[in-house]
Amino acid sequence: MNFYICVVLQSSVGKATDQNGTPSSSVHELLNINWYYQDLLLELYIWDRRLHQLFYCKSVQLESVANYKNPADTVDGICGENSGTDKKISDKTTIALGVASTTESASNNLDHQSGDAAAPLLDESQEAGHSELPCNGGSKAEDSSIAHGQIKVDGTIETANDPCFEISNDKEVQINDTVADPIPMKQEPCSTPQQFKYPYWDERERWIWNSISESQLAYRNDIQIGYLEKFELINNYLPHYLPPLFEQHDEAYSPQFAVGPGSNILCIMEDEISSIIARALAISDERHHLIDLKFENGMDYSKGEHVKAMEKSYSFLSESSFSSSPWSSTDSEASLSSLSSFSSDDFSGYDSSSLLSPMHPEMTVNGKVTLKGKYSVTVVYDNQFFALRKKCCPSELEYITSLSRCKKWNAQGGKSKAYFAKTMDDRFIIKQIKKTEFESFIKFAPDYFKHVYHSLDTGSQTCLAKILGIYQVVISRGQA
Amino acid sequence: MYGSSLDCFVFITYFHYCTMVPDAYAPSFKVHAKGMVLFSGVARFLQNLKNEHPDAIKLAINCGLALPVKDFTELEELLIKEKAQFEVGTCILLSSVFVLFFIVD
Repeated sequence: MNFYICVVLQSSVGKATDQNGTPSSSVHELLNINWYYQDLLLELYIWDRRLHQLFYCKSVQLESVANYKNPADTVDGICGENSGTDKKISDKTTIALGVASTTESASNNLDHQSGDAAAPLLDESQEAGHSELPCNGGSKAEDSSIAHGQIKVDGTIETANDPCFEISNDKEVQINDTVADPIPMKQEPCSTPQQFKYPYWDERERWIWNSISESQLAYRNDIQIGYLEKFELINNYLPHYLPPLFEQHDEAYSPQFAVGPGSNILCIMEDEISSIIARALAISDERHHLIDLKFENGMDYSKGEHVKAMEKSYSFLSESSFSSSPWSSTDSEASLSSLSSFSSDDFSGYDSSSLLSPMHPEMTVNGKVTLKGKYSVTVVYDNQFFALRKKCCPSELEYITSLSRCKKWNAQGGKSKAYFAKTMDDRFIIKQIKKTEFESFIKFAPDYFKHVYHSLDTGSQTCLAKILGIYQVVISRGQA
Repeated sequence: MYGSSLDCFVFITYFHYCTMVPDAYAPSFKVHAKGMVLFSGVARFLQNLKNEHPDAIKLAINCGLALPVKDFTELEELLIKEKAQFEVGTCILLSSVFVLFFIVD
């Protein structure tokens, strides 16, 4: 689907911005809110992992005690209705941790029975699915190949509840393991409770018991220096015990976060077209910085380690491909419910190969794991608009931050019935334009820039709306 | 639920906020609400764990975990402290909303 988007400065409210180069209060708020969301995601991760450790230790210890005292009681206690409280709890937590059995029906029966009994332990607000999530980062139990317990009971069955297990390195499991447990756990068989230790957790996840302010500071520092491993971990973590911060069933409407210019956190909403543009501009802004560095230092950074480091510091892929054809029709029949208010009927099939030049760079915004679709944003007259925004906006960061969120605006009086939206801070208007309008602008753009530059430089009044950006957004589904 | 006068005030303020405050301020309220839901969920979970297994912390320490707390009381205090830290931050954001409410009202 192709969309042509025009961003116009809403001058009546745009005066709210500072002119001294510092971000205005509204932009500050947006950025702060994104940081608060990061703090919350960090809190969610920390508390979920803390609970995971407590549950796991409790489960294993109780199992160890039970097995040490009376191994035969493991099975009998589960199957019998009159089993002790500790035994029931032990089974419940085993299920809650997802230490499920891969043995035959006998052990499956145990799982089902204990799974039913697990309900009272968990809070009523917890979804049933949570109790089935394993400790290895949310992978399904059947995906894990778990070594059975060493304690044989009457030689008929190997208990599924033995804490000593090993998770196989299947691909699916590995994907999830990177979220929660990057390293498969191996536990030595334990004959007494005192022998059970957690060297892996103690070393790798010791930080989760640090003070939250200390963890937040370290987290922010990591982002500032471009070390985004923890950022990816936190933002893609699926909690096991606590409900997720954003509903998973509604991915299109849940925000995704990306690191933007100046290591600021941008909030990306897939159902908001300006959000996708903001993400592309974040990449573009980095390009401008690199170009500035290149000119300032007189060095060719294009092949240097610096460029690689900077590109790596972003949590999304960035490409500037001029050789591909961004103008060819990529309309797909796949319906975009989140962008249903857009109409792309009149915009397909436009071939402007003459515009394939560095003047109109194409940014491929292809989220690694966050975004479902592949987005290609062509920034028309990138450098010219960038220069124009320098005159009209305090900073590129503010412009990008404003675009990161928008809401539909029912503009009245227009005949075209085009889609209108406003940024959340009411500073910019986003309008979907038609192919003919787009073509017209491409033709008269040099005159437009000349006129607006002259107006801004001389202070003369102009009736022209201040267009601060024209973008072509191509959305292709099914490539996520 | 809204028995005390303070709760009534908060509820009414929230109602007015939803209807009168510009959309630009809605995100700050949302992040605050999500934080409260998160901390409440953790508190409930800890309470359940405490009821079912009062010695869970000691078991974890016996397992070799280096915990900064010795029992559930300290763990709950840790949660309250972290919740308070979050509230302090978001209340600064929300304060602008409530000031606006009083001006509008």
